[in-house]
Amino acid sequence: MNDEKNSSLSDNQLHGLLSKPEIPSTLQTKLQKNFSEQINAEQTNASHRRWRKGLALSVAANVIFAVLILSPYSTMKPSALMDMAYAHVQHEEELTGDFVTDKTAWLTAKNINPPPKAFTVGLAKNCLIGLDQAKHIRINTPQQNDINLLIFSQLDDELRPARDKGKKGLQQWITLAPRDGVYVIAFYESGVSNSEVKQLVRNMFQQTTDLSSSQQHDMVI
Amino acid sequence: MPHLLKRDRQQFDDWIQEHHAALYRHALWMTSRSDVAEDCVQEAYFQAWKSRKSLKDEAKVFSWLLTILRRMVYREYEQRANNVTCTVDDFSSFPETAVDDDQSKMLDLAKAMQKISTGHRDIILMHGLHGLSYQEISEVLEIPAGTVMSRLSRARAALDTALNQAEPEKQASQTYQTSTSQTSPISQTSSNAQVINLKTGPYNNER
Repeated sequence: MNDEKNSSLSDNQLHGLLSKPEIPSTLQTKLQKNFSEQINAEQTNASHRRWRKGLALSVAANVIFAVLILSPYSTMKPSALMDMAYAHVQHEEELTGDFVTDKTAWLTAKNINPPPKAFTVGLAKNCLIGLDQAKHIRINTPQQNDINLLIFSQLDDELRPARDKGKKGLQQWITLAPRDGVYVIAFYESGVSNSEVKQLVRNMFQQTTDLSSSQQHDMVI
Repeated sequence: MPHLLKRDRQQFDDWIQEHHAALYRHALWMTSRSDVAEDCVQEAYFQAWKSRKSLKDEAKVFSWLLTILRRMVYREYEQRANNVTCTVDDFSSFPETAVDDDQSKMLDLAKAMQKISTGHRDIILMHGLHGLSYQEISEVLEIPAGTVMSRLSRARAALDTALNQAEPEKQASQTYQTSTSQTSPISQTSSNAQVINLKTGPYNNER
């Protein structure tokens, strides 16, 4: 026990001994110099990292931009079809000639139901949109708004617009597939609602007669 | 932003000037090697720079730097534990032979410090070297102040025991030295070197 007491250090003695090791005279300068070099290296690395990140972002932005620019080419044909369809509707806007003597009979012959009585058929004719045959039916609503239906049969999928609705000029448009193999582009004025057009097309293409599929195909064409 | 960076660098230069000595001594007592101590301090300042945004209160910068340094020291222990077994004679910055009484006591203390656990050494340095209060130590170690007091008490007891063990060894060494006059004091020190297997690692010791 006596030995322990002899060897015990007071707080002051301990502090004095612990503080005794000398500090190398060049330590501070060395630390500051190395610290400065470490920071410079770190900043250089950081700027390289920023540069690489910037490059990656730039490449990504360019890829996205290219995709956005190029994407219309993938839908060029459908856009072209829509443009031609719209131009056709505009071209025949004032056209009212009786291309068919009895529009109702013409519709029925094509296995298309006439519109409800409140609606009138202003135009019904065969036409050509680009290289595709179509039927153009213009229907006048009770509110005196026009709905133009362009009816295609066996239209290639790749020609169809990517979207199923949109606006062209002052006209809204929707696309519908009321029957297998039948594709309809409907242009309508702002006084007509989208659901009204859908209902109209649904009614007109509702199967009321029990026809064989081959007959249906022939008639629609 | 560049002016902030410049201000931060100036701030760190000031902190190096102000605290490097205390941090170096801490690392030296913990590692017993001046080169390792220097590396630890250097790395601690750099790590502190990288995480400088984590310093919430500049008044507590020393505690913050000390915490980072301790982490560096323990990392150093881990690396050494995987590679080497060192001896107390690795004290490259402590005098190999005592030229005066103070140096003799310091050498004894150095040897005794190596005999106690790293955790005990750590807390003795915080209190005995840096003069941190129980509350400050509790913040650094993230333990209650009461635990600091009891741990420090145990650490001091362990150090006293180690110093007492060193006393008879020293006497035996002196006896041996006088009987073998051709043996140099340096080799004497070497022959009495106690091998400390660092593979036990700091985390196995009481902290």
